[in-house]
Formats: sequence, structure tokens, C-alpha cells
Amino acid sequence: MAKKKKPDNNEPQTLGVLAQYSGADELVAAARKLTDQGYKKVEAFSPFPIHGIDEALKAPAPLLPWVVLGAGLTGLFVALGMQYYMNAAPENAELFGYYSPYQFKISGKPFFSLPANIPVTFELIILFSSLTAFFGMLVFNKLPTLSNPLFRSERFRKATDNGFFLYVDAKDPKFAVNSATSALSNAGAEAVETIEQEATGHTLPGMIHWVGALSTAAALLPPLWMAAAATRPSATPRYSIFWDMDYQDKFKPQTQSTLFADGRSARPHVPGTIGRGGMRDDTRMYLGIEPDAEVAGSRLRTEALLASYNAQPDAPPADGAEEDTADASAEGEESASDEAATPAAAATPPVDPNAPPEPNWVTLPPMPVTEAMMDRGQQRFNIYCAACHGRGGFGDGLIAQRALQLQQPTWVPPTNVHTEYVTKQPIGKIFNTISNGIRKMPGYKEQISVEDRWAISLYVQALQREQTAKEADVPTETLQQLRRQK
Amino acid sequence: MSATATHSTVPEIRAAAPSLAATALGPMGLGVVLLVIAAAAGIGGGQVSRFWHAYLLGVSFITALSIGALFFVIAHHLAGGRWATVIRRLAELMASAIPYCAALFIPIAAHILMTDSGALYPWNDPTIVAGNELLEHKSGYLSDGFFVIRMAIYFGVYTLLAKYFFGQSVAQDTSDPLARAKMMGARSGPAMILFALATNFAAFDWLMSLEPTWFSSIFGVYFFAGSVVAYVSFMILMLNFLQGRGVLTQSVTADHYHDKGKMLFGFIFFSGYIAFSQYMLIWYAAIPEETQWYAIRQFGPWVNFSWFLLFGHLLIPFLGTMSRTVRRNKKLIGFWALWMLVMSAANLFYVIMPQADGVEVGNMMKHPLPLPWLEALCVVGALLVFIGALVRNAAGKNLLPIHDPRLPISLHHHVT
Repeated sequence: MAKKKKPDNNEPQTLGVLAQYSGADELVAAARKLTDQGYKKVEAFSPFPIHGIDEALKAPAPLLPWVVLGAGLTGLFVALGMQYYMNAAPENAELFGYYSPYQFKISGKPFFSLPANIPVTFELIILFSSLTAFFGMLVFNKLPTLSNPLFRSERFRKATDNGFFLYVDAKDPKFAVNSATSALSNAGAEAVETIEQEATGHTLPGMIHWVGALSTAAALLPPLWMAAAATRPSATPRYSIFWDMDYQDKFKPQTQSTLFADGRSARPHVPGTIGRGGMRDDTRMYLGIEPDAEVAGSRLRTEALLASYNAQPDAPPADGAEEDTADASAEGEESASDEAATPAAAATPPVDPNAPPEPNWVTLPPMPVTEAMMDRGQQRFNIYCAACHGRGGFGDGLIAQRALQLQQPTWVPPTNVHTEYVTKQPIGKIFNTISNGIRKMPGYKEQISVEDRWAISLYVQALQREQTAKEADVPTETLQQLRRQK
Repeated sequence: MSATATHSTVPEIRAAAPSLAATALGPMGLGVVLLVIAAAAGIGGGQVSRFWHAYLLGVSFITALSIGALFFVIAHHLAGGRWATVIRRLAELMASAIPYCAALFIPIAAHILMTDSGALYPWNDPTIVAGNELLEHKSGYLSDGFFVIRMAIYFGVYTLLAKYFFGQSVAQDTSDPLARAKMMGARSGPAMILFALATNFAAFDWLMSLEPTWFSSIFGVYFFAGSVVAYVSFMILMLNFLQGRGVLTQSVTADHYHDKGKMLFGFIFFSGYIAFSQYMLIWYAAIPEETQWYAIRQFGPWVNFSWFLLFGHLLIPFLGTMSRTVRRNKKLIGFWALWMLVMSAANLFYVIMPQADGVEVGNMMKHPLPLPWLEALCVVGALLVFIGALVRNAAGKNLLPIHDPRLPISLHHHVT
């Protein structure tokens, strides 16, 4: 058997010799004897790891640690290279030609700086190393092996229980069945058997190889075609399914434009101008406050506001600040009493003696009151407010009911708008609450237009009025109508 | 070891000679003399600030050794550790040197209490604090009385823990080994919490407050990681030394060196990881009150020292201690242990010395004495005191916890 035969499934073939030993120490001793005689392809099988078996088998030092080291170093260079490519320094950008990197200046740091790159590098080293260790372990162990000829040995099943085995592979250059058998027996084996290749008489049809080779080659065609197309200039425009979505007549944020001298697509505001809808100097309309010298929206404040529109582009108070500054001061006035009013005291917040004086709230909407406005207010109220406050404003909306059912500890019940504390409020204050929120209630000025907020305020006051209304307050006609319905 | 062997017949189980207590006075005395020479040369030579920083470097270096050893003892009990039982007694001896470290801290405490000098801690100088809003706010915490009280608390905690675990371990040699092992295991959890708190704040006080306007919440961990590196290095060197003199030659095997080498490797990387975590956040945010600490070290004469530390304390020993072959060879791992012990001192040098007035590595080169001789003198002096303390603690004690229930497992330890 010293000569190697071509695999042939029609003839039985010896794969190796298996020997069983009585215990771990005997196994180690036998392994040492075999390897001392010059056998190289010797393997040991035991139910548990045995100290010293590696030395006894004279197994070559495993290659895997070096492979993992290589993978780790690969991770190091891939990570650094990737990050260098992705945001390389401008002086090297043209190295990459068409595939130019993303040059984002972040936090004033250099385009390529090691401290920022170390976390990614660290992770990639670990990723490459651990994946290589795992899959390398499988590969070096020749796993997954679906079937091993040793499993055909009845005796070998004890290898996971109480059997200790040595196996000399036929691929060993010194291998011969007789000499290997006697060597194993002399080393104290309890039993020795040869492991044969099963003679099935079947071989794989040659056609299968051709099919496999052809489909593999065919699978390579699309990526090859893509690679070729990507580097070849083409006269036809890129194929686009939705052309007008791919190419739109607009500038994206933070992009360049050749249209303007400074090259920026985003334009700074022009001094002395205000964007459409940006002029909000009517404090009655936008803040619900009568303009006077004391508060936000006063003449002095409005003048300061107007002056800011004339500021040069680089001056700090830029466009868009007008409503924010005014609101911030209005909120500031509100917040002092907000903090004092803890959720438990939501219904009747105590009066804080240190609270700044209430602004001079408007008592009438800054627009003509019409029935259409009242209807609009009712509709908007039922959309935005009723979910919590209830359609009647009693603080019994569906959300409030559900929260009480669930006994949510952090839930602050919505205010009943018919408590005296609210009914006494002028309409300007109600408008302000709707706009900027109060306690847990969020502000709605981003969702609801200013006219609609006034309409809702009006409707809230109508709801309040309704609670104290007498028969005489209702127009006779409507009264009769209601009576008839009854 | 056969079952019939008795203590008298097995040379491995022998106690250190009681006469060592007297021998210990030699190195201890020499160490104190060196420290006194350093003080005379430093203060006499007009380098007051530099001397105090160098002195702090020396004593915090040996304190780090003790703290690292104490951590190891507690962690070993906490985890129900088995493999290191053979070297646990040696770690206990190192941890028990903490009262001597405390004694060496007394001159610093006296310096803070009795003078208003900002030579070591700038917050101790009222003229520096006055007018600095940040320092005025911190002055409640960074005040001399409170600082010394805290120092006493830290050393109280360390001494209590070290004495407890060492005392129980020694008592275990004669009585109730199992009950004591269980009790030490049960108490190691609270002990670890106390240890962590003390170490965190000790690092803030001793080292971070050298730059009183600077702060870094990870600094305690940074100091701790460096301490464990120093401890493991010292332990490997001590084992090499003892085995060279025929002590513990049978108990401590290549497998123990292997595991100690793994620990060294792990903590080298951990300390680098922590140092980088501290660095990167500060570098990225680039806020002046945080970057000031690195500004001294990254620009000007100290930048080369930073590079030296990056390669010497992290990258080179990381690769050097990676191999299994190196870790299992006590001479090779001993070489890296010596390397890391020197680098641990260099790490503390890097933390402490740039804060000293008028100390710059570049200037030192122009100095008539071209090396950081004052600092080396202090480190060697303190180390001699530490070794003396170690020998004194060992006198008359077994070098193995001979009746610990886990000792047999440790003796049979094999790294698979």
C-alpha cells in the first residue's frame, strides 16, 4: 500500500488503522511511541482534552494564530486605507480621479487624522481577526465534514464516552497496514482495526462537473460586464427611470453653485429685507399681547427687531430669529409660574409672589369675530384639543380617560377649561397657552396657523361662556328650535 | 508531592526566615537615605517644585504596586480564583506594604498642611486660587485639611483591606482553612466596592489635582489600569528572582507564568485603551479647559516623551507579550515585565512631571546632569523602601497559603 492509488469506488481501499487504548495516560504513551517511530499522520481521539497529547503527537504548531495575525494586520491597513480614501486630504484628492472621496470638514479637524480613525481601525482589526479565527478554525479542522469514515467503526462510538483512540492515516509516508497495526499493538492497544473506504461501485457522473463549471462561469459574466461598463466611456446618457426625480431644478443644502460669486447655493439673507411671512411685528396678532413699553413686542423691541433685519449677513442675529426671540421672552414669563405649578397642582396653580407681572393680554381677538371663525374654531378644537381636553373642554378626552384607566404615574391630567382659574383668563393668555403650551401641554404654533389659533381661543371662550349661560342669552329663534327638538 | 509528605520534608512549603525582618531594614534604610539625598539635592539646588513632584512620583509608584496587588487579591477571592492561589500570598505581601506607602505620604501631607506653597499642588497656594473663579469654586474640596483627611481615608481603607485579607490568609495556614476561604470570598464583594471608590478618588486627589483646573472622569480608571500593569510586572520579576534563589521552584510553573503573562498583556492593552479613551474625547471636543493637560504634553518638549510612551508602554510590549512562547518562558516574560515596570514609572512620570514648575525634558537635556536623575533617585529610593517592606512582611510567613482549599487545583494548573 505504499504506492498511492487513484481513488476508485469500485475497489475497497484502506484509509488508516484505528487502535483503542484503556486510558488517557496509555493514549499519551502510545502516541509518543508512534511518533518516535517516525509516524507523522497520527491523530488521537478522547472524550476530554488531555494534557501533553499535543507534545506526544508532535503536532506541528498550529498555523491559525499567524493567519489571525495576518487578518488583524489586514484589518489595520484596510481600515486606515478606507478612511484615507473616504476623506483624504485635498492635496491627494485627484489621486482618485472619478472616484473622488467625501471631503467633509468635521469639527475643524484635519481631513485625515489618526485619533479619529483609531476607533474604526480598532473595530475592523477585531472584526477581521475574530471572523478569521472562527472560519479559520472550521477550515483547519476540515469542518463541516458531513461524514467521516471512522464513524463506520462500531468501536469508535465510544470516543465521546470512555474510549481513547489513536488513528494512523494511510497518507503517512511510513504507512503500511501490517507495520502500523503491529506498532499500535506494541504500544499497548486493546484492539486494532483497519478503516476501509466503502466500495459503493458508484461514481459521480462527469456531466455534473461540466454543469457546475459552466454555471460558475456564467455567474461571473454580469459582474465582469459591470466592471467593463464602469470603466468605458459611453456616449449615451445614463438610463434613468424617473428622470425628473433624479434631476431636479434645485440646490441641495450645503452644495456649491457657480451662479453666485461666493459659490454657495444657500443664500444669506439680503440686508434690509424680510422673507415673506417673516414680518411678525403685530404683537396682538402673534403674541396676544397689547403693545406697551414693558414687554416683548413693545415699540423699542420692535425697533430692535427691525434693526436686526438690516444687519450684515455675518452679524450674529441672523434671519429667522424674530419669532424665536419674541417667543422666548413670552415663554420666559410663563416658565416661572410653570415651574411653581407642579403637576399635582395643575388645576389651581399657586400664585408665585416673585413671578413677573402678567403681560398685558389682549381681551378681544385681533380680527373681526364672525360665525365662520367660530365654526372654524370648533372644528379645529375638535381636531387638535378634544383628544385630551374632551369636546366640552372638561379635561375628559379619550386619551385622558385611557391614561386614568392605565393609572399612568407620570400622567398629568389635562386642565378643565371651565375651572375658575381658566375662565378668568383673557383671550390673549389662552392664545398664548395654545401657541406655546403650558406645563406638560406642548405648544401648537408649529402645527396650527395663527388665525386658527385665534379661532380656537374664541371657541374655548364660547365653551366657557356656555356653562354660565341663561335662557335669556339664547336668541329666541334658536331657543324655539331647541325646544322643538326636545 | 506525595500524600505522605509533611511540611518539614517538602522544601517547597517553607516559611521565610524570621530573621528577614532585620534584613529588611537594610534596603528600607538605604531607600530613605536616597530620598533624603534627593530632598537635599532638589530643595538645596533650588528645584523645590521639581523635587516635590519627583517625590510624589516615587511614592505613587510604589503605592500603585500595592494597589495593583490589593486589587488582584480581592479579585481572586471575588472570582473564586483557583490558578493563582500559589502566588496569592506574594500578592498579599505586596498589598500589605501599603502602610509604608502611607508613611512616605506623610511628608506630602505635612508640606500641604504646614505651608501655603503651590510647589506641588497649585490649589494649596491662596494667591493662585484668589481671582481664579474655577479654583475658588473648587476650594471647598481642594483645601489642605480636607485633602489630608481624604488621604487618611484612602490609606485607612487600603490598610484595612490589605490587613484583613493578609491576616485571614495567614490564619488560614493554622486553622479553619475552609471557613476562612468562604468568608474571604463573601467579603471580597464589598471590599472591591470600597477599593474602587478609594482608588478612583485617590487618583483624582494625588495626580489629577496637580492641574487643579483640569478634570477627566476616567482618570481613576487610567491610574488603576497602570497600577495593575505595574503590579503584574513586579510579580513576574519577583517570581523570577525567588525561583532563581530556589524558592517556589516546584509550585510556580510555566503555566502560572503563562497566565500572569496573559494578564500583563491584557492590562497593557487595557491601560492603552483607557488612555486613548481619555485622549480621544478631549481631542475631539477640543475645549480649552480639557485640552490644557494635553497641550503641555503634546506640544513643545514633551511631545517626544508622549511618543515614547505610546510605543514603549503600549505598542511594542503589546506585540512583545503576545506570543504563547514568550509567556511560557520565564526569562522572556521576565524581560517584558522589567520593561513594563520601567514603563509604568515612565507613565507616572508623564502624568506628574510636566506639572512641575520649570521641568521640561528639553531643558533637562541642557542641564549639567543630562538625565532625570532626581526622579530616578526618588523612584529607586521609594522602591527600596517598598522591597524592604515586602521582606519585612514576609518574615516568618509561609510563601504559599498552604492550607487553602484551592491550592491543590492551583498546583495542578495547566493552561490548555
